[in-house]
Amino acid sequence: MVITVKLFGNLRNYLPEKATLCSAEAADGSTVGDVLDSFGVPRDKPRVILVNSYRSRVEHVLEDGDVVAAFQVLPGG
Amino acid sequence: MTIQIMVNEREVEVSTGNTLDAVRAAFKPDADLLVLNGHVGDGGESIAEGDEIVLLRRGEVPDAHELESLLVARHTPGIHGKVKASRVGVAGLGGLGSQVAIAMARMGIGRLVLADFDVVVPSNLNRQQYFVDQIGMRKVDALSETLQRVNPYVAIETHDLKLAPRNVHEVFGSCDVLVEAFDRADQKEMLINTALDRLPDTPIIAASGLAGHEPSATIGIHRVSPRLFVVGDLQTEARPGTGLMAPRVGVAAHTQANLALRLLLGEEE
Repeated sequence: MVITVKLFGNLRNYLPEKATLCSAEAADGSTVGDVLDSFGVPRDKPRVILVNSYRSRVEHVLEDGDVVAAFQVLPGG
Repeated sequence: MTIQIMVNEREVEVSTGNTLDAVRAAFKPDADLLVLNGHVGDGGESIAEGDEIVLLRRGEVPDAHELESLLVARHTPGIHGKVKASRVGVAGLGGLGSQVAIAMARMGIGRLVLADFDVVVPSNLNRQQYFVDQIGMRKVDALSETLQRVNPYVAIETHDLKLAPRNVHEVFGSCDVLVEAFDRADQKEMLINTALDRLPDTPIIAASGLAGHEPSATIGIHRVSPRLFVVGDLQTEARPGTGLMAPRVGVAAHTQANLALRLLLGEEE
Protein backbone atom coordinates (compact mmCIF):
# COMPACT_ATOMS: atom_id res chain seq x y z
CA MET A 1 0.00 0.00 0.00
CA VAL A 2 1.02 3.61 -0.47
CA ILE A 3 1.09 6.06 2.44
CA THR A 4 1.67 9.79 2.20
CA VAL A 5 3.93 11.13 4.94
CA LYS A 6 3.97 14.83 5.86
CA LEU A 7 6.62 15.86 8.36
CA PHE A 8 7.09 19.39 9.66
CA GLY A 9 9.99 21.42 11.00
CA ASN A 10 13.00 19.48 12.19
CA LEU A 11 11.34 16.15 11.33
CA ARG A 12 11.76 17.06 7.66
CA ASN A 13 15.42 16.16 8.09
CA TYR A 14 14.35 12.51 7.99
CA LEU A 15 12.67 12.76 4.58
CA PRO A 16 14.66 12.61 1.33
CA GLU A 17 15.99 16.08 0.43
CA LYS A 18 14.23 17.44 3.53
CA ALA A 19 10.92 17.44 1.70
CA THR A 20 7.73 18.19 3.60
CA LEU A 21 5.77 15.46 1.86
CA CYS A 22 6.77 12.02 0.68
CA SER A 23 5.09 8.83 -0.50
CA ALA A 24 6.06 5.56 1.13
CA GLU A 25 5.44 1.95 0.19
CA ALA A 26 4.36 -0.02 3.23
CA ALA A 27 3.38 -3.62 3.81
CA ASP A 28 -0.24 -4.39 4.65
CA GLY A 29 -0.76 -4.13 8.37
CA SER A 30 1.94 -1.54 8.85
CA THR A 31 1.50 0.93 11.68
CA VAL A 32 2.29 4.63 11.83
CA GLY A 33 5.36 3.71 13.84
CA ASP A 34 6.52 1.25 11.16
CA VAL A 35 6.30 3.92 8.47
CA LEU A 36 8.09 6.53 10.59
CA ASP A 37 10.75 3.93 11.42
CA SER A 38 11.32 3.39 7.72
CA PHE A 39 12.47 7.01 7.48
CA GLY A 40 14.59 6.73 10.61
CA VAL A 41 12.39 9.05 12.67
CA PRO A 42 13.10 8.38 16.36
CA ARG A 43 9.96 7.19 18.13
CA ASP A 44 10.18 9.88 20.81
CA LYS A 45 10.29 12.86 18.44
CA PRO A 46 6.87 13.09 16.80
CA ARG A 47 4.66 14.21 19.69
CA VAL A 48 1.61 15.06 17.63
CA ILE A 49 0.56 12.56 14.98
CA LEU A 50 -2.46 12.76 12.71
CA VAL A 51 -3.80 10.26 10.21
CA ASN A 52 -6.15 11.74 7.63
CA SER A 53 -6.35 14.88 9.82
CA TYR A 54 -7.46 12.98 12.94
CA ARG A 55 -5.31 12.50 16.01
CA SER A 56 -3.46 9.21 15.93
CA ARG A 57 -0.68 7.21 17.58
CA VAL A 58 2.35 5.19 16.50
CA GLU A 59 0.48 1.90 16.98
CA HIS A 60 -2.34 2.86 14.62
CA VAL A 61 -2.65 0.39 11.70
CA LEU A 62 -2.66 2.16 8.37
CA GLU A 63 -4.70 1.61 5.23
CA ASP A 64 -3.78 2.24 1.63
CA GLY A 65 -3.94 5.94 0.78
CA ASP A 66 -3.70 7.18 4.37
CA VAL A 67 -1.97 10.48 5.03
CA VAL A 68 0.27 10.60 8.10
CA ALA A 69 1.27 14.03 9.45
CA ALA A 70 3.59 14.56 12.41
CA PHE A 71 5.64 17.19 14.15
CA GLN A 72 7.73 17.60 17.25
CA VAL A 73 6.45 19.93 19.96
CA LEU A 74 9.25 22.18 21.18
CA PRO A 75 9.31 24.06 24.47
CA GLY A 76 8.99 27.83 24.54
CA GLY A 77 6.20 30.32 24.91
CA MET B 1 -21.65 76.77 3.63
CA THR B 2 -20.58 73.64 5.49
CA ILE B 3 -17.55 71.39 5.73
CA GLN B 4 -17.07 67.72 6.68
CA ILE B 5 -14.82 66.97 9.62
CA MET B 6 -14.22 64.00 11.93
CA VAL B 7 -15.06 64.40 15.62
CA ASN B 8 -14.16 61.47 17.85
CA GLU B 9 -13.99 59.21 14.79
CA ARG B 10 -17.43 60.19 13.51
CA GLU B 11 -17.96 62.21 10.36
CA VAL B 12 -19.95 65.35 11.05
CA GLU B 13 -20.92 68.50 9.18
CA VAL B 14 -20.20 71.93 10.62
CA SER B 15 -20.39 75.48 9.35
CA THR B 16 -17.33 77.06 7.83
CA GLY B 17 -15.45 79.57 9.91
CA ASN B 18 -15.75 77.58 13.14
CA THR B 19 -13.02 77.32 15.71
CA LEU B 20 -11.97 74.30 17.72
CA ASP B 21 -13.77 75.83 20.71
CA ALA B 22 -17.01 75.99 18.75
CA VAL B 23 -16.69 72.34 17.83
CA ARG B 24 -16.13 71.50 21.48
CA ALA B 25 -19.23 73.46 22.47
CA ALA B 26 -21.28 71.64 19.86
CA PHE B 27 -20.12 68.09 20.48
CA LYS B 28 -18.52 67.72 23.92
CA PRO B 29 -18.74 70.85 26.06
CA ASP B 30 -17.01 69.24 29.05
CA ALA B 31 -13.91 68.27 27.04
CA ASP B 32 -10.72 69.64 28.59
CA LEU B 33 -8.30 68.21 26.03
CA LEU B 34 -8.67 69.19 22.38
CA VAL B 35 -6.65 67.38 19.72
CA LEU B 36 -6.66 68.76 16.18
CA ASN B 37 -5.03 66.56 13.54
CA GLY B 38 -2.84 64.92 16.15
CA HIS B 39 -1.75 68.10 17.92
CA VAL B 40 -3.06 69.48 21.18
CA GLY B 41 -4.96 72.68 20.53
CA ASP B 42 -5.93 75.64 22.71
CA GLY B 43 -9.36 76.15 21.16
CA GLY B 44 -8.71 79.15 18.98
CA GLU B 45 -7.67 77.21 15.90
CA SER B 46 -9.75 77.53 12.74
CA ILE B 47 -11.36 74.35 11.46
CA ALA B 48 -11.00 73.27 7.85
CA GLU B 49 -12.49 70.58 5.62
CA GLY B 50 -11.22 67.09 6.52
CA ASP B 51 -9.86 68.02 9.94
CA GLU B 52 -9.75 65.22 12.49
CA ILE B 53 -10.66 66.32 16.00
CA VAL B 54 -10.59 64.34 19.22
CA LEU B 55 -12.39 65.84 22.21
CA LEU B 56 -11.52 64.27 25.56
CA ARG B 57 -12.18 64.80 29.20
CA ARG B 58 -9.09 63.76 31.13
CA GLY B 59 -9.61 60.63 33.19
CA GLU B 60 -12.97 59.85 31.66
CA VAL B 61 -13.49 56.27 30.48
CA PRO B 62 -15.51 56.16 27.26
CA ASP B 63 -18.78 54.29 27.63
CA ALA B 64 -19.23 51.02 25.78
CA HIS B 65 -21.00 52.62 22.83
CA GLU B 66 -18.39 55.34 22.44
CA LEU B 67 -15.46 52.94 22.69
CA GLU B 68 -17.08 50.64 20.17
CA SER B 69 -17.50 53.54 17.77
CA LEU B 70 -13.80 54.29 18.10
CA LEU B 71 -12.89 50.66 17.43
CA VAL B 72 -15.24 50.36 14.49
CA ALA B 73 -13.77 53.48 12.96
CA ARG B 74 -10.26 52.03 13.05
CA HIS B 75 -11.18 48.57 11.81
CA THR B 76 -11.58 47.60 8.23
CA PRO B 77 -15.32 48.04 7.49
CA GLY B 78 -17.41 44.96 8.16
CA ILE B 79 -14.96 43.34 10.53
CA HIS B 80 -16.06 44.59 13.92
CA GLY B 81 -19.39 42.77 14.01
CA LYS B 82 -17.69 39.41 13.49
CA VAL B 83 -14.93 40.19 15.97
CA LYS B 84 -17.42 41.27 18.62
CA ALA B 85 -19.46 38.10 18.16
CA SER B 86 -16.41 35.83 18.57
CA ARG B 87 -14.97 33.88 21.47
CA VAL B 88 -11.29 33.07 21.65
CA GLY B 89 -9.70 30.68 24.12
CA VAL B 90 -6.12 31.13 25.28
CA ALA B 91 -4.41 28.23 27.06
CA GLY B 92 -1.43 29.54 28.99
CA LEU B 93 -0.85 33.19 29.80
CA GLY B 94 2.91 33.52 29.40
CA GLY B 95 4.87 35.19 26.64
CA LEU B 96 2.50 34.02 23.93
CA GLY B 97 -0.83 34.01 25.72
CA SER B 98 -0.56 37.37 27.44
CA GLN B 99 0.21 39.07 24.14
CA VAL B 100 -2.45 37.21 22.18
CA ALA B 101 -5.04 38.19 24.80
CA ILE B 102 -4.05 41.86 24.69
CA ALA B 103 -4.20 41.90 20.89
CA MET B 104 -7.65 40.33 21.04
CA ALA B 105 -8.88 42.85 23.62
CA ARG B 106 -7.57 45.76 21.56
CA MET B 107 -9.54 44.40 18.61
CA GLY B 108 -12.70 44.38 20.72
CA ILE B 109 -13.18 40.62 20.72
CA GLY B 110 -16.50 39.56 22.23
CA ARG B 111 -15.24 37.09 24.83
CA LEU B 112 -11.85 35.88 25.99
CA VAL B 113 -11.54 32.57 27.81
CA LEU B 114 -8.22 32.55 29.65
CA ALA B 115 -6.65 29.65 31.54
CA ASP B 116 -3.45 29.45 33.58
CA PHE B 117 -2.55 28.19 37.04
CA ASP B 118 0.64 30.15 37.47
CA VAL B 119 1.66 33.35 39.28
CA VAL B 120 3.71 36.26 37.94
CA VAL B 121 7.41 35.91 38.85
CA PRO B 122 10.21 38.35 38.02
CA SER B 123 11.68 36.19 35.23
CA ASN B 124 8.37 36.48 33.34
CA LEU B 125 8.92 40.17 32.78
CA ASN B 126 11.50 39.66 30.01
CA ARG B 127 8.75 38.79 27.53
CA GLN B 128 5.36 38.51 29.19
CA GLN B 129 2.86 41.34 29.45
CA TYR B 130 3.01 41.83 33.21
CA PHE B 131 4.43 44.59 35.40
CA VAL B 132 6.66 44.72 38.45
CA ASP B 133 3.72 45.68 40.65
CA GLN B 134 1.96 42.47 39.57
CA ILE B 135 4.68 40.11 40.77
CA GLY B 136 3.08 37.42 42.92
CA MET B 137 -0.40 37.86 41.45
CA ARG B 138 -2.21 34.99 39.77
CA LYS B 139 -1.63 35.42 36.06
CA VAL B 140 -5.35 35.24 35.29
CA ASP B 141 -5.95 38.13 37.71
CA ALA B 142 -2.98 40.23 36.60
CA LEU B 143 -3.84 39.88 32.93
CA SER B 144 -7.54 40.54 33.53
CA GLU B 145 -6.55 43.75 35.30
CA THR B 146 -4.49 44.83 32.28
CA LEU B 147 -7.18 43.82 29.81
CA GLN B 148 -9.76 45.83 31.73
CA ARG B 149 -7.53 48.86 31.33
CA VAL B 150 -7.30 48.23 27.58
CA ASN B 151 -10.99 47.61 26.97
CA PRO B 152 -13.35 47.30 29.94
CA TYR B 153 -16.14 46.03 27.74
CA VAL B 154 -14.55 42.77 26.62
CA ALA B 155 -16.09 39.82 28.47
CA ILE B 156 -13.28 37.96 30.20
CA GLU B 157 -13.72 34.47 31.58
CA THR B 158 -10.78 33.26 33.64
CA HIS B 159 -9.87 29.77 34.81
CA ASP B 160 -7.20 29.59 37.48
CA LEU B 161 -6.44 25.92 37.03
CA LYS B 162 -4.06 23.44 35.48
CA LEU B 163 -5.45 22.28 32.16
CA ALA B 164 -5.66 18.54 31.71
CA PRO B 165 -7.51 16.18 29.35
CA ARG B 166 -10.45 16.08 31.77
CA ASN B 167 -11.16 19.84 31.71
CA VAL B 168 -10.11 21.12 28.26
CA HIS B 169 -13.59 20.68 26.80
CA GLU B 170 -15.26 22.20 29.84
CA VAL B 171 -13.07 25.31 29.67
CA PHE B 172 -12.82 25.87 25.92
CA GLY B 173 -15.86 24.07 24.53
CA SER B 174 -17.63 27.33 23.66
CA CYS B 175 -14.71 28.95 21.86
CA ASP B 176 -14.58 29.66 18.14
CA VAL B 177 -10.78 29.40 18.09
CA LEU B 178 -8.33 27.94 20.61
CA VAL B 179 -4.82 29.35 20.97
CA GLU B 180 -2.23 27.02 22.52
CA ALA B 181 0.20 29.30 24.32
CA PHE B 182 2.03 27.12 26.80
CA ASP B 183 5.74 27.17 27.52
CA ARG B 184 6.37 23.53 28.39
CA ALA B 185 6.40 20.95 25.61
CA ASP B 186 4.42 18.35 27.56
CA GLN B 187 1.60 20.84 28.19
CA LYS B 188 1.56 21.88 24.55
CA GLU B 189 1.37 18.26 23.49
CA MET B 190 -1.43 17.53 25.97
CA LEU B 191 -3.51 20.48 24.85
CA ILE B 192 -3.08 19.89 21.11
CA ASN B 193 -3.85 16.19 21.35
CA THR B 194 -6.79 16.69 23.71
CA ALA B 195 -8.26 19.46 21.56
CA LEU B 196 -7.92 17.28 18.46
CA ASP B 197 -9.89 14.59 20.31
CA ARG B 198 -12.40 16.60 22.29
CA LEU B 199 -12.99 19.79 20.30
CA PRO B 200 -13.55 18.38 16.83
CA ASP B 201 -14.86 21.60 15.29
CA THR B 202 -12.52 24.12 16.89
CA PRO B 203 -9.52 25.47 14.99
CA ILE B 204 -6.33 25.14 17.05
CA ILE B 205 -3.45 27.59 16.74
CA ALA B 206 -0.40 26.13 18.45
CA ALA B 207 3.17 27.37 18.65
CA SER B 208 6.47 25.52 18.46
CA GLY B 209 9.96 26.87 17.80
CA LEU B 210 10.19 30.53 18.73
CA ALA B 211 13.22 30.88 20.98
CA GLY B 212 16.35 32.89 20.27
CA HIS B 213 16.83 35.73 17.84
CA GLU B 214 16.62 34.12 14.42
CA PRO B 215 15.07 36.25 11.65
CA SER B 216 11.44 37.19 12.19
CA ALA B 217 10.46 35.75 8.82
CA THR B 218 11.42 32.26 9.98
CA ILE B 219 8.32 32.31 12.19
CA GLY B 220 5.86 30.68 9.83
CA ILE B 221 2.42 29.12 9.89
CA HIS B 222 2.41 25.35 9.33
CA ARG B 223 -0.97 23.90 8.48
CA VAL B 224 -0.79 20.35 9.78
CA SER B 225 -4.46 19.60 9.13
CA PRO B 226 -7.46 21.67 8.01
CA ARG B 227 -7.94 22.91 11.59
CA LEU B 228 -4.53 22.52 13.22
CA PHE B 229 -2.02 25.31 12.65
CA VAL B 230 1.43 25.56 14.22
CA VAL B 231 3.16 28.92 14.40
CA GLY B 232 6.93 29.04 14.74
CA ASP B 233 9.97 27.63 12.98
CA LEU B 234 9.44 24.14 14.47
CA GLN B 235 13.18 24.00 15.09
CA THR B 236 14.37 26.48 17.71
CA GLU B 237 13.47 25.29 21.15
CA ALA B 238 14.00 27.13 24.40
CA ARG B 239 17.06 25.67 26.14
CA PRO B 240 20.18 26.83 27.94
CA GLY B 241 21.98 29.12 25.52
CA THR B 242 18.87 29.82 23.46
CA GLY B 243 16.51 31.87 25.53
CA LEU B 244 13.02 33.19 25.00
CA MET B 245 13.20 36.84 24.04
CA ALA B 246 10.44 39.40 23.80
CA PRO B 247 10.79 40.31 20.11
CA ARG B 248 10.64 36.83 18.61
CA VAL B 249 8.07 35.57 21.11
CA GLY B 250 6.08 38.66 20.20
CA VAL B 251 6.33 37.89 16.48
CA ALA B 252 4.98 34.40 17.18
CA ALA B 253 2.23 35.65 19.49
CA HIS B 254 0.99 38.22 17.03
CA THR B 255 1.21 35.71 14.20
CA GLN B 256 -1.09 33.54 16.30
CA ALA B 257 -3.38 36.50 17.00
CA ASN B 258 -3.56 37.53 13.35
CA LEU B 259 -4.27 33.96 12.32
CA ALA B 260 -7.05 33.81 14.92
CA LEU B 261 -8.55 36.96 13.42
CA ARG B 262 -8.32 35.57 9.91
CA LEU B 263 -10.01 32.33 10.93
CA LEU B 264 -12.76 34.22 12.75
CA LEU B 265 -13.36 36.21 9.60
CA GLY B 266 -13.59 33.01 7.57
CA GLU B 267 -10.36 33.59 5.73
CA GLU B 268 -8.12 30.67 4.90
CA GLU B 269 -4.38 30.59 5.25
